[in-house]
Amino acid sequence: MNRFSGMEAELEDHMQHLDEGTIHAWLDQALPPDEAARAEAHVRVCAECAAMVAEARGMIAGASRIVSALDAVPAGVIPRAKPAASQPGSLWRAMRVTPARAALAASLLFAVATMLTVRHDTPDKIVPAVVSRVRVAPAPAPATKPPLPHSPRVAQNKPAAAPPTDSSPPEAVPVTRDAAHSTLGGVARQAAVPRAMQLQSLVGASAPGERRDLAGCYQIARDSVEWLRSIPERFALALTPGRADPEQHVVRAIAADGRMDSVLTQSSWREVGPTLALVTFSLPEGRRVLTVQLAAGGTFSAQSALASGGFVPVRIMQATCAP
Amino acid sequence: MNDVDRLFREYQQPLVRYLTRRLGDRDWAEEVAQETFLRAVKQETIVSERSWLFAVATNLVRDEARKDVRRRRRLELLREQARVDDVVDPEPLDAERAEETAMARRALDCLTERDREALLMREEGLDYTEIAAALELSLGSVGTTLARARRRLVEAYESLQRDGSGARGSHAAS
Repeated sequence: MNRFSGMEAELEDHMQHLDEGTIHAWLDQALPPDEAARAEAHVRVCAECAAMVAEARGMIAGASRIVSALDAVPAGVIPRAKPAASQPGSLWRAMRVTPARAALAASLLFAVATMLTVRHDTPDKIVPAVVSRVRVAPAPAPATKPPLPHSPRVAQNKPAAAPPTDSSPPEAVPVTRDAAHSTLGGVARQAAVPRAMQLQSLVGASAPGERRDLAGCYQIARDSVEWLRSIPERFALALTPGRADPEQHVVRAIAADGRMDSVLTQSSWREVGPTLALVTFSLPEGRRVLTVQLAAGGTFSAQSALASGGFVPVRIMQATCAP
Repeated sequence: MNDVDRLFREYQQPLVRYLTRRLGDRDWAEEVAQETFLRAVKQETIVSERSWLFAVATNLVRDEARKDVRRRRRLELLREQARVDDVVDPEPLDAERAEETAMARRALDCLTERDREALLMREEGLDYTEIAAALELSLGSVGTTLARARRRLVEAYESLQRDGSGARGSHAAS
């Protein structure tokens, strides 16, 4: 009898849906470890709550953007952060990424997250051929047409058309299905773009107290889709291993003027070429890979995949940024 | 007695940003921040500096807002007008951005005071414990407060956007 009631209690606990406040606390990393683990376990099996988590992410990002929009007051009115590089929201101003535009990003995120959840739940039904190796091509030339967005073959095997750029192209790097983080671990080595090298030294020079300053930044970059909106024409990315755990990477996008715009922890970004980047980030539902492609006219497309289930493009989205 | 130099160095900037977002006025924000630091100097012991400072600043805003909200509004309007007259508009997109800012401000006004403060503190990087201490909330209710604040803000903003009257009228959404 006791045993059964124990099991029931466990089952009940397992089935207990998360309330919105708990989800936000979890996403804000404010839950104690045991509760966070419980939330994570529940979200893994509960599509309803997973959808709520995705929605909450959108809310967090959206609210953050709206609050940042308050800072768009006449020049110099809002105080700058000590190092100009870590001024939260600076790039939003620089990029003119307005809440209206960011709202699109938030809904895109929701779509991706939902898709991923669905795919994650029913991999057998939906996932087509599992690709064991993905060859990520070197930097595409600006003149090259991007791959057809709806071609799964292109998406799976060749995220980008890959002729060399004018400058020295990085070497083609194979991305294996089970080695998302080994790929990512190699980012520093693969950053053949001179600009990115420069930025790494910039990152290496960060002050010890920096982590705290970054606390204000992370909401800006909490959902990776924001990156789609935030990449200016001239940008660079830098990656540095986490201090406590080398597996936890910190990815930063730095605008041409040297200002850092955002930080995405537990994730990693790999710049494959001037118009293509690969970002991997950990989310409660599993590690994900997002391929971002930027075309000359400000168009971007993105593919997402669960790395754990093979590099499978689940959706290709296209949107056009305002010029 | 607290080391005002250090407090100022560490907290002036986030505090002023928080207050500016809250009040929509940098000068006013500076004043309130200054008063907050003055009080910190007089305070014997402060357990959690950041939440103490944010709490005091928040209370000062509340007190003052209660006292002369009308006069403030009027002055704000005048000041804004003066600024608009002064500012040379270098980019054509500035009008659009001004509208976004106005909409963001109005969406923020749709929140209750507590929700608004919690959200703005969170945006300044305060953790749940600090927010709970500053606003005298239970730790368990911070998540709910933030969830509600964010949802309302986004919904109000979207509703203003739909109305397409961001720069006109007042409080169309709630």
